[in-house]
Amino acid sequence: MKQTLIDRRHILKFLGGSALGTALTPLPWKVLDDVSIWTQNWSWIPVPPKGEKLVRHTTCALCPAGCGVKVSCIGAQPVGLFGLPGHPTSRGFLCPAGLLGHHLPYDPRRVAQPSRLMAESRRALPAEQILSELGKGLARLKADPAAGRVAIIDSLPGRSTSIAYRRLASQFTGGAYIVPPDPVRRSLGVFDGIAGEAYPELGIDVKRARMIVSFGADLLEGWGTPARLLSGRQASDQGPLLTQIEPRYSNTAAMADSWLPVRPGSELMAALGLAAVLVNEKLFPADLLPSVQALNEMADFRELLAALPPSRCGDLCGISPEAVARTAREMAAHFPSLALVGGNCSGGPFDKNDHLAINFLNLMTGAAGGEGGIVPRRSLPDPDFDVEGAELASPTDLSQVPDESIAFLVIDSTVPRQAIPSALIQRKLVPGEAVVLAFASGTQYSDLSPYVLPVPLYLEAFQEIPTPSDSPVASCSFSVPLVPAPPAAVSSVQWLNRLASSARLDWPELSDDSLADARIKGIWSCKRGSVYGYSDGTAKANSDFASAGELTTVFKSGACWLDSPADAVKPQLTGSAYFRPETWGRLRRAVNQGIEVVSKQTNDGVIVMPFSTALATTIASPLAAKLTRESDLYARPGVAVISPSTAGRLALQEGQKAEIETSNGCLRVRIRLDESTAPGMVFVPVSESDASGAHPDPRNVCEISEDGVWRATPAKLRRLDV
Amino acid sequence: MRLRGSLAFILGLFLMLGVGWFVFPLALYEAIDQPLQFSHKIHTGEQVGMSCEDCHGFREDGSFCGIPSLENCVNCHSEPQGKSAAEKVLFERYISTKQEIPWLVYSRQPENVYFSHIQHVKLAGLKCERCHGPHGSSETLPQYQRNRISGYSRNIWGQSISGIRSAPWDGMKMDDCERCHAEKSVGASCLGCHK
Amino acid sequence: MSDNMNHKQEAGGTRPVRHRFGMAVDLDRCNGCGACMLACSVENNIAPVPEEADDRKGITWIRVYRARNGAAFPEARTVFVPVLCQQCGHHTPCVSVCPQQAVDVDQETGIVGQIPERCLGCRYCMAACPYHARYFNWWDPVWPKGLEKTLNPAVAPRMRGVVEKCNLCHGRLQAAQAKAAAEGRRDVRAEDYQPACVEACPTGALVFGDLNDAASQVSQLARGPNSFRLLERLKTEPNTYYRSKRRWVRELAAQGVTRKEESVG
Repeated sequence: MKQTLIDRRHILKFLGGSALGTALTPLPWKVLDDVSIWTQNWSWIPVPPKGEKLVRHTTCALCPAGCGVKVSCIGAQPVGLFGLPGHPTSRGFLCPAGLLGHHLPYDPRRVAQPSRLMAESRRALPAEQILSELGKGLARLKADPAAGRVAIIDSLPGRSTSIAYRRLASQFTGGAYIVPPDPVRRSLGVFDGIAGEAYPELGIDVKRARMIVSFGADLLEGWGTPARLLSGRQASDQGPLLTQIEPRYSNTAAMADSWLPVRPGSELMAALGLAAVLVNEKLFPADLLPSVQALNEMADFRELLAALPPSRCGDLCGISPEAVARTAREMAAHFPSLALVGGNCSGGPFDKNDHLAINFLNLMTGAAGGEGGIVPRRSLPDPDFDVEGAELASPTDLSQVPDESIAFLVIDSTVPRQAIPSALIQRKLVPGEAVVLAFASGTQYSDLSPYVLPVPLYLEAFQEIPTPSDSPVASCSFSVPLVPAPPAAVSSVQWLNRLASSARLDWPELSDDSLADARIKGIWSCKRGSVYGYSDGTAKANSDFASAGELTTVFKSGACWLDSPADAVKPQLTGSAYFRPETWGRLRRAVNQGIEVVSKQTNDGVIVMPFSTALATTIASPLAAKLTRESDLYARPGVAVISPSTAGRLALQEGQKAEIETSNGCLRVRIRLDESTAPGMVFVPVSESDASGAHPDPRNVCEISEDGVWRATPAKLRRLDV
Repeated sequence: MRLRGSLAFILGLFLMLGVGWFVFPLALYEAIDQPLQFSHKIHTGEQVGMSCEDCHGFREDGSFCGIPSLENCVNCHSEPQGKSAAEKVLFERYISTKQEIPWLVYSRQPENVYFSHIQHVKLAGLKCERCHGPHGSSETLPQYQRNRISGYSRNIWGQSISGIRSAPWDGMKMDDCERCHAEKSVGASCLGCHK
Repeated sequence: MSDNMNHKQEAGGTRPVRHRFGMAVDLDRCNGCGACMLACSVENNIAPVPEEADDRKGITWIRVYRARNGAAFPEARTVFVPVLCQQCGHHTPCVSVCPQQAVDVDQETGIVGQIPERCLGCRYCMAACPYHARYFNWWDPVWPKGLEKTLNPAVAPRMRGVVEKCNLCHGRLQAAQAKAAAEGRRDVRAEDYQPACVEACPTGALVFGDLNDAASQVSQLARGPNSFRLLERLKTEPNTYYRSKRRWVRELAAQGVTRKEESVG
């Protein structure tokens, strides 16, 4: 038999020898080691940037509160934002939106190019095209005012930039300069002038109040300057006693010392019921006796209060008479006690009568004009700026503008929040012809199909943050640019210059620098107050600055100016509206209307009330979903919260798809049950981050009154069998 | 037949021994040049007299500068200081274009490793040479040899493929750290060295 | 505030005294804002999860839960409970079940440290943890384009398939140790080290410190009246203490809390 040279066995022996040889080398072990390292270092796992750790400072520009921010940077890149413990107002506080501010430039919804936004898409357009078309439109409207008015909505009024908007409005006959509804400003407006000419403005001294009766004000979730009540480590158990009066068990209600779950629309009756107890049991401060006697001379006043004893008040509001009496007595025992009116951009403002009724409590407790209450303050010094021959339009409310009268609307979205429901804006636009222009960085108001000229975001520009409406003293701070803005995003002032030139308006060239300098010069010239520098953590008297330029340098590295408090002033209460009989006639009518509304709430339908959920801003960080989707801390957009008893009545279950139908439209929702919800109520979260088709804005199905109020809407809720 | 069988076995044995000990190390590592031939000796020698900390120093918060940035070089090299080819490259390719030099770092560790230089240098009193060898007196930068599979430098595993350390600074694997930590009875919790 | 400069003389030099870092959470102050959750996510490079994920697959090293008193409207009340890794002091369930020794208790600080790189993803520890404080990376981390620039270099991002959890911001502890070393100290000072959640909490509900330091605020709060720990009967001896003046809240802590089932339809 012929032997083959190499057969199977040889190969096997060869392989055997190779295997033994390999085992005696480092090869298998090294390869194993290297491969395991390779599997732990995939190229698609991002690697954080390396560099020197630096700390910068700025002021948060995402809302009017203007909290101090400590920015951790790696080189020039911000990687973390935290509160600034030494800041005299915010004292280390930074809300969830502020904590994620450095992510905003990377939101895919960020608008960095001049575009036209549609509800679900956007189309980039050359800036020249937008400017020339819109410029022509403006020129036409200037020549022919009958075609419609020009209106501007300013998201952050009171800045030096606002001067540009006010000037624009005044260029046109019937031009309107609109400011978003602000519950604090509306409340304080009730007491306009009580401190005389020296102190034209009022603020709220929340920190020194011993009791706060909040009518729907989300004090612990974003009202006014949240830091004033929450301020960091100093939040003591001796904070003001808090009674929350609102239909919903909000987070503020959960934290409050007591919660009075009144029916929606009955707030003014609750307020007047409390006032009735204070008056009838003589629980008001002794020095108010003459005022009360003057009030008692008005028949409407007497009869109104007589018609709201605790039993009747409790009945109308849906709370116990004991609760009414007890609350009023607690208010008396804790002077200064402060009554605050709520109304954020989701739930909507309260109407003027509500503000009138609720603020009457401030009169009765001595909070109006005193420490721990409504205090006088000076205005923020005007910018040292001479806009030649300029008239500046005065602020107005959108609800004051006649329907279907706006042909050209400019929306400034420096504060990236959709503060007004599109449905309300739509009502005021000339149908079919109106043009909407937004100076924005996000997709807010996309359902109005605006032209967008992009502006820098927070952290990209030097932005002024004027006095927040609730502040007890005037203040001003600036947000400092830490990252470069996209090349096409320039400030609204620069866009306005180009737009005005395209429309051939009489317009001085304004610049951001000159406006900022003018404001700082105005502050420096008043020689009052102190400047807190964020980087060195020290306060310096304004008068110690040798020049406005020195002050500018400090502002550019992060600082805030606070005015000195007003001197004690005896408030001129008798000048206020409460001493005029018409006011009480009006309140009587309002109460009667309220009684009608409340009595209708006991039928088969439900009442829909929108409320804010986390980070109600239009552009957000992907981490915001940690609060709504990766946990159930905040209500997810697209749900409707109802009580188990309502669910039982309507044969609905947790997680089921349902539809809310109002006189204004339908809204698809998913049911979420919550035992703390009052029967018959449907609470719908507004999350402006998802203002596209996926989660339509619930506010748009609400009934919006002529006064611009959309708090509670009767509706039908039914299961959706899909 | 049996002879041939044993031959096949021995052939396989010695072949793989050769491959494993000699061919494998050659094939595993890829030689890459540094962007420019920096001479430590010139900078630390008598003429210039810098010490390690002058470029590889600590910041106030205790963090380590690592490989210095271009700004550090420009402090002295705003104008050419000599005539070497390396310096020419420095100017033409990096200083004039303001581009950071993409050094290849011999001691680069994976992202999850946290090494605190200051605790080892200041508190434990270790000298740079203990872990980095006589790098500071080298005339030229050693050839960077990149492991084709793991992507890290040969300095991490050690020069020898066997893993046997030729010097205290040969090798920067976790075992090397652990050995010294055990000898000195210093803390060895995971999060002390990982992040 | 005491000065954590207690040193013991031992052969070979001074050694810092063992710490037992822990937290005291005031449930009467937590207002459910979620700032702690976001600060933690920013500090620790926690990835956002895809759209289809819900709260079972999310990653929230600290998570604020709502717990209720069980009554119906209008007596229904809520308490917000931030839950993070309780840093069990004794019989750490996760350490005892891990086949990979991917989690260890640091004797010097008392911190239960999770090392995702060692983890093989069996999730046994997630089953063992009675507090549901451990989270699994079901997906590779994906951040919107450009957002990777804002990641914190003090913490390494994790790949999919590994478990992660709160380590009391070890990146900050490491930075505090480096700062101490720069000043020639071996021990960190209380004011140099606080986790991100504690720094961000607006109401001061989270207090952090060394439980071994009897004079520290956290120690006093932990020993104070109305102080309790979650699931005490399991004898995990966590280093995280809660307190509330409300009895129903304290009683709730002793029981388990069932998750609401969502019916599909």
